[in-house]
Amino acid sequence: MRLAVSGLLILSLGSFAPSAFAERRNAPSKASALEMGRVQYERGRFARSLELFGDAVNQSDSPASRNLAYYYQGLALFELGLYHSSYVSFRNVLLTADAGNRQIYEKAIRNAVVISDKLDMPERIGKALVALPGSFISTSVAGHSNYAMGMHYFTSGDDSKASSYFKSVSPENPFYAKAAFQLGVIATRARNYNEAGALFERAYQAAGKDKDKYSQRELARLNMARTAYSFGQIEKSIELYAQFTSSSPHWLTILLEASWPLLRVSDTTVSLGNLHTVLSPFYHEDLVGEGYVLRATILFSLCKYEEMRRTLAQFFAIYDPILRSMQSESNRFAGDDTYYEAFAAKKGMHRAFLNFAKRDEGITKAMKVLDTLTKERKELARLGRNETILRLAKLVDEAIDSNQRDIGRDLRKMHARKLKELLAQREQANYLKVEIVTGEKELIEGQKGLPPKRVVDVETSVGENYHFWPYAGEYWEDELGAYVYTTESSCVN
Amino acid sequence: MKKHQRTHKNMKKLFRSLSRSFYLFAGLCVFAPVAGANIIEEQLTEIGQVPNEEIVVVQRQYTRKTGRFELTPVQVGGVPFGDFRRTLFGGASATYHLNDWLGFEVPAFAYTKTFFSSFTSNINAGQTAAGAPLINVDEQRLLFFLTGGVQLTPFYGKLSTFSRYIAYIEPFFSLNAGLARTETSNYLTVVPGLGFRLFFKEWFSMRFDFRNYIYNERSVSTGTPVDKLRMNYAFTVSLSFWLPKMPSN
Repeated sequence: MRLAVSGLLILSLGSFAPSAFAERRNAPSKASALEMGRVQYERGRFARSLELFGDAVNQSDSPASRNLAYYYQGLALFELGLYHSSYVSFRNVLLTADAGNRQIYEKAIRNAVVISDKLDMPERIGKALVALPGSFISTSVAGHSNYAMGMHYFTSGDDSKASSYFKSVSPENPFYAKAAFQLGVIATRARNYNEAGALFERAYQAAGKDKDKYSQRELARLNMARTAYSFGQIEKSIELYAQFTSSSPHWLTILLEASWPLLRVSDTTVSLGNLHTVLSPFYHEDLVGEGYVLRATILFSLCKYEEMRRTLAQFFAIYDPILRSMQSESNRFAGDDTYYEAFAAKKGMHRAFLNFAKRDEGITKAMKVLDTLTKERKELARLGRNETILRLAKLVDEAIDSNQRDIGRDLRKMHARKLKELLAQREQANYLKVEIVTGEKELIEGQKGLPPKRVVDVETSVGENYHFWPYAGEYWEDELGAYVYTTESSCVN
Repeated sequence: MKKHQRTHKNMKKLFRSLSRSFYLFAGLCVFAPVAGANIIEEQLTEIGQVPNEEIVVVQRQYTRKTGRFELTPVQVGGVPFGDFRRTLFGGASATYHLNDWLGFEVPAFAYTKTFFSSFTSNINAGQTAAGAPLINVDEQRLLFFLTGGVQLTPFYGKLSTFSRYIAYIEPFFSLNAGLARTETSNYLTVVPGLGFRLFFKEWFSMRFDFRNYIYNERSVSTGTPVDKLRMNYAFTVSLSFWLPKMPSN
């Protein structure tokens, strides 16, 4: 019996094969192209289904059939790992409001927003969604849409509209944490630090313990600490900074920034300890010049002039060459693309700035997206040269160019900002050099002779579960961030 | 940062007093004897420094052992230095750590397999029946050790390997006692030892042990029983898992 069924199946396949072959050779009709594409898609032949969906798009005479073809094309491209092209196909569905195919809008919106967010371009789909009539956005994807539309207005500088859309994202939506974060940024822009702190905290809580949202959570927490400091809540900011561990992607920034509120409460023990890490040879090429100036300032308050002198000498020795190199770069680099090319090639740019740029989360993410797009472009080239593929490849090329321009622009801005900061730090360091002489003078005068050296009895008892290690001038990588200064003020008064 | 600017306003205030101070300082420098100036400079240098002794590292312990079990399901090694016999070890143990420096190893089990080398048989093969007596080796093969004891861990440290990886290490001393079972008899054994642990994770470590399993063996190979102190210098390597999980704070 089974044999007979198999025989019949072979015969039936044989009888249909010539017609299928004929269909393949001649261009399929518009309805059949879509249907055949679906069949190929369901069989897992995604590359072939792409061709057929492309034919269906070209031959379609109504928005309904075209949108359906775009939708399936998006699915097939997603299966092939061609995310940007997939996003473009889903976005194409949303460009025309077609009452005949309402059911696909929900899925198209969801997919387009998720993919565009992964590609760090949610504002682009937001723009398409703004133009789409509201009746096409079902309640189940309202959160996704509001987030994307909020991002569109946020990037175009309309904070009021952006804020309104971000506020409409419900707490159950996966984009809630991001929306809350953006609201926090808007509140910070408006100098409403109290609200900003609450919003960043909400973003931090919403990110939960999901591994995918780790960097988002850390950034929200960092902004909580920054906002508390800006709002004058020094103790709270110290507490928040203290919660970070060395695994945080912002570790170096945190050590440096945490020293400011500590200085405000005269906690030189930990602030100097933090700076001991920041100024270690591990970070000589990480643009942390501010740390040297801050250390010198703290040492000034402790009348530790000799140490201050050494710190400043170290600053000039390390940062003068960097400053000269960055000045030369800013004169040499013609435009944004030059910055991008130098960064991508890791040539022609001082390593300190390269390291600093690599620490920037935005740049890192943009480079990853660029990598994804470049791989996608190669994959598309392997899929053939039909009209659909060529069109998608052209769009990926445009996206790559746009991404590179954006990275170049951001790098140029960062470079200019860091150069300006470095010049200011150098000026401050020069002031401090003068202050050493003044301070030493006052020390002698105040005491009518110099005070005797105080021998500090180093406290070695530490809390339970902690170790005490002496520092003998050698840095151990695992000890970074764990240094504490027991030094006392040498000031007379 | 704004706070930075504020600090520098104070600096500027100090800067304004510079000219007055500078002349006074210059005057002092001109009129003071050179030797005196040198002494002041030395004093200034001395009190203005932050010596290394005033910088400490307060670091969270990599692992804590208090109230935790060290389960060692895999232990391999042997007694490699016997003249004509070699003993292989395979065992397991469980150690309860009362605190970071004191632990109780109860029990420690080592199954042993003894092999005799061809040394004696080769010699005996050359002997004639009427010649010198054959070399008799007391072939009392070890079967297992079952012991228990204490571990003292007074030291803790870390090693840098090729300036790349940092390994947390702790040497320890141990003293066990228990049963040594051979093919023919049971003996009381005392096992002094020393070793060290390397921690890879707070819950996973490797242990290297050097122990001497000492027991008074009664030899019957010559007819009359002879008691002989037998030393078994054993080297073992083992992997340990730590339970329960270390609390995060």
